[in-house]
Amino acid sequence: MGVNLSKGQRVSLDKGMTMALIGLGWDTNKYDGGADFDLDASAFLLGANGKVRSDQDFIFYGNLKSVDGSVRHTGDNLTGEGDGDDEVIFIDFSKIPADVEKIAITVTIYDAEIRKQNFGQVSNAYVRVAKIANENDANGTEQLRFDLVEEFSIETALVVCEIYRHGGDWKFNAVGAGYQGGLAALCRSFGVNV
Amino acid sequence: MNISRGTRLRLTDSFRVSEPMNLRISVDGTAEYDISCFGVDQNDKLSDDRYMVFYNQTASPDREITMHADAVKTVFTMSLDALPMTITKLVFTISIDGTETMSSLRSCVVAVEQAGAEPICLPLTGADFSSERAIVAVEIYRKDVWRLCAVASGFNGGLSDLLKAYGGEEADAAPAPMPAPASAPTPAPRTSGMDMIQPITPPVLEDLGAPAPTPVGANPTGKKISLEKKLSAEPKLISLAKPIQIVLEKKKLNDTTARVALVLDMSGSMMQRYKDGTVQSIVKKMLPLAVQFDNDGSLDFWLYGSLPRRMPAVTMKNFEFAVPMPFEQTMFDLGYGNNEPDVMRQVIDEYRNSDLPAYVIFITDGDIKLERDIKNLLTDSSRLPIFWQFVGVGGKNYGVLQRLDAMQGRYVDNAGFFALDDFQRVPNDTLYDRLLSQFPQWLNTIRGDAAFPQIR
Repeated sequence: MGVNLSKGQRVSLDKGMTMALIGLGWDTNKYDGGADFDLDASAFLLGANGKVRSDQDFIFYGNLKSVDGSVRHTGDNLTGEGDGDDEVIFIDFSKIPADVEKIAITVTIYDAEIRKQNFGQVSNAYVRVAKIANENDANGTEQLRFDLVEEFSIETALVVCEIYRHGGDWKFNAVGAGYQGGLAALCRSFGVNV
Repeated sequence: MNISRGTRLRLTDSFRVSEPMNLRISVDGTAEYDISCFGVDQNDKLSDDRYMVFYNQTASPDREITMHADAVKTVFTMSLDALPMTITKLVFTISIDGTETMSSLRSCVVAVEQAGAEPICLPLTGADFSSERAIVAVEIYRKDVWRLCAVASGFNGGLSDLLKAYGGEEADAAPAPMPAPASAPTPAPRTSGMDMIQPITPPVLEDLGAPAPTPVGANPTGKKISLEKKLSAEPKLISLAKPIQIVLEKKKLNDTTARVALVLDMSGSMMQRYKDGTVQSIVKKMLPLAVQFDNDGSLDFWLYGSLPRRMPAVTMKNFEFAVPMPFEQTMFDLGYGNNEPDVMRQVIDEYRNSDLPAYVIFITDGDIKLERDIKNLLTDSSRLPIFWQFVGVGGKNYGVLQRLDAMQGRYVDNAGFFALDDFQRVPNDTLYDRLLSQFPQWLNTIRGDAAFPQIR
């Protein structure tokens, strides 16, 4: 079990970590009334200006892998059912291009406005980072964990965390910032054309 | 401050949680809405059902949560810091007893209020919902401090789904033993870690409408509470408990104590209705009635065919086995015939000298042949504290029972009849309403009549 972070905390990642598993989890299936929840994790590869270099740097259910192979999304989980990670993103630090300063990990609610949903209705949400040997290493060693539950209410998009360069190392920032407007709003703020 | 679905906030930012505060739920809509509070443990389970505060139990053991309801609102008064640490969350729910859905809500406001503090209001309408029949309106929970989440989400299955969602696992595995009748409530015997909580005086049931003007056999000892608790201890009967309570209030019978009897036709023509479970269902539906106003919470019970047979009283414990199995043997023993008079004589003998009014539910599928005897028995018993409620179950040829109103020669009108085409499909509240359509008038008539000196 790694370190538990709270909102706003920044920590250095293990210098020996070449591959990381970013696991995101949530529970939304408690009530059977109303519309189903569909939460999506995404990653944005950002340059020094805080924007994507191109739309290819937006890794989501419609574009599962970055051109350079450094960030890979394992695919969409439509229901959030079951224990453990609901969606997983792999980061291969050795392949991150030099002009990428920061990787923002986000979670958004699909069709939130139509379905009248927001993060206040989501329970047990978290992000965790595990050091893994390769992508077949299912569990690895958990480095840190950030429980999001009490941080949000009526937001529909979250920047969960950022992994950013600091000197020659990588650090983790437990951002936990919420926005209205869903994935589209996040995309616009990171410079993705939608 | 208005909040919307999904809002989470710290109650400690706006309220003094060490002092009592109110949570008010006002609901307006076309359905009947039940408001409940589940005090659950860290696993979201109602491991101590004394912390379910609802229409059958309007206060928690130490009155940390009390509930007051009137026609337009339900108010819970909460002393959050007084709650045992094992209660980690209060789940406030709105459920519909019936087939309507939450989309029938015209308006609903959930408000947290405390003198001197700005209230927090969650307004909801039917447009916020679709086919839910039970919703969690808000949750108040411990997470470092007391917080609130405006959940406003729910289940399609109504109160029973809520009970399932919050029911303790032990409750599912083995029903809780029944508390002794007319005693102080027994602590729920199913949980760990609750042993240090002592049961206290049962709460006084409030806001049940005006009491009957001069209640017959009124019981001032708060007996109803323990009876209510019997109902809440038997989850299968909870949905039955509500309609009967409403009917009793409507009929001003909620303070009445009576002896309740059930007489079941076991003649050969009833065979199919025993086979398909109709009769078993009748027993189950009658039981809440008995529990609500019978003097000992049980149902005196007779079967008859050609012969009458007094059966053990039906209680919350044995109601599922009240109809003897295999019933074919009993039917054979009783001789397949339709001998109403003999069983009526046994019933009359039982209640002839009763100090309490007796309410006899007499189920028959008709084929009445011994009309003259029945008439004579009804006439004779019209000077006794016995009311006969005949119910025709999917039969025919009810004979004299259908002409009761025109029957001359009785001291008071002491009998009623209605036919049910399909007992299983009639909603409970309709059934109870019809069962109690004439009994209150009879009660009013004999009350104070010199011929019934024993009935006060």
